[in-house]
Amino acid sequence: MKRWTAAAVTALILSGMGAGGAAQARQSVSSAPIDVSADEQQTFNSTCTTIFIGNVEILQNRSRLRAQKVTIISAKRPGGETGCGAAQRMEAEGGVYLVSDQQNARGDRAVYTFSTNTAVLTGDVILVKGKDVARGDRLTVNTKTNDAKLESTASGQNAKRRVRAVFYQDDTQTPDAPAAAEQR
Amino acid sequence: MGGDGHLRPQLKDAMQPAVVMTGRSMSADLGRWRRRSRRVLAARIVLPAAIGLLLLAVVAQVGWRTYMAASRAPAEARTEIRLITPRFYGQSTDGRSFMITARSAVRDDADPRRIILEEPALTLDLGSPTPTRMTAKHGVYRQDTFGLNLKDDVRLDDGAGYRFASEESFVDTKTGDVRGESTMNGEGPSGQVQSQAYSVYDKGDRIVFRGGVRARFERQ
Repeated sequence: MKRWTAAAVTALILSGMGAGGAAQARQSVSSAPIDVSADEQQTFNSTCTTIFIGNVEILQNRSRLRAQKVTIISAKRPGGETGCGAAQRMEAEGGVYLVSDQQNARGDRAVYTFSTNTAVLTGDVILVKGKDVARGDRLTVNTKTNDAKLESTASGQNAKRRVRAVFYQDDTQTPDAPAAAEQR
Repeated sequence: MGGDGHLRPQLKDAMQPAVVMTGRSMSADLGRWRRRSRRVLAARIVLPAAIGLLLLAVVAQVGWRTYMAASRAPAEARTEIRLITPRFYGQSTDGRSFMITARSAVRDDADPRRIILEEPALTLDLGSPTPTRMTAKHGVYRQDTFGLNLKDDVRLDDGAGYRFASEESFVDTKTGDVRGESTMNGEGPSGQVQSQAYSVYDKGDRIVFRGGVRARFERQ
């Protein structure tokens, strides 16, 4: 049974990721072209599916996704037109790494739904920003609103796979600066 | 006359120098005659021998040429049959028809099932709303395997918005499958793609790019 972790923890992580994370989210939904490199690409026109296999790397602006296999499912054109439309869903499998300017995340599998701007990273999820680290089983991020949720399948206080996070205090960070000024 | 007495001195005078001359010139004449005789004798031997050698040489040459001509087949005159703007029609195993046209076509003398094409153009799925069309500068069509090899500036348009360019491609007109083992640049409705090799299967439904794939998708 899934256990919702403290919203405060994820909010803290994401607020800690701060403006950079929000900017990154805005960039990820931008209309910038997406560059893909892989060992092999298979396109199925009848199902509007494109599969990238082998050392896949997807780059948009300064965000990068790495995986062993990425499947992009596009919409069929309406009205019986031939060809495929915009991408609807992207699935990444096998050592998924999401890298941006501010944070890195890794998991076993990632699914991004373009219509809802939602990315779901599952498996052994590790989220890193600077020295801060959070670990869980499922990370859901809305790349438009920057809302995020880190969950674990384990329940109970002594369960091994509960969400865990480590944060380092950094006095030089902008949110702490006013407080530091008050102390003087 | 002998009693005359007046002839005797005349005879004597006449005979005297003749005897003297005959004695000296006889040996010279004899020498000349002998030398001439030797030359004539040599000529009688040398000339027939030379004639014989010449005849022998002529006979040997005729014999040699006859032998050599028999051992070497005569060069056959090349009769190149060139078809201008030819058109070949065919049908794949799943009933799809195709057409190959070219600027010119020449049947290979060494292999009659091999047809060499200049500026070939292949249309797969004739009659369908989205036929696949391929063009190249050179091509070779094999009538026994139904394979079309395209070379130099090969371009493919699948009719659904995908266009590929490569240096060589092979089309199996029996199945309609296309494959290219050289660097390929392509573009489709959503972006561009580049790879080291590509294949098109299932009537163009499945397209596979292999080796160093680089793709760019334009967000719509």
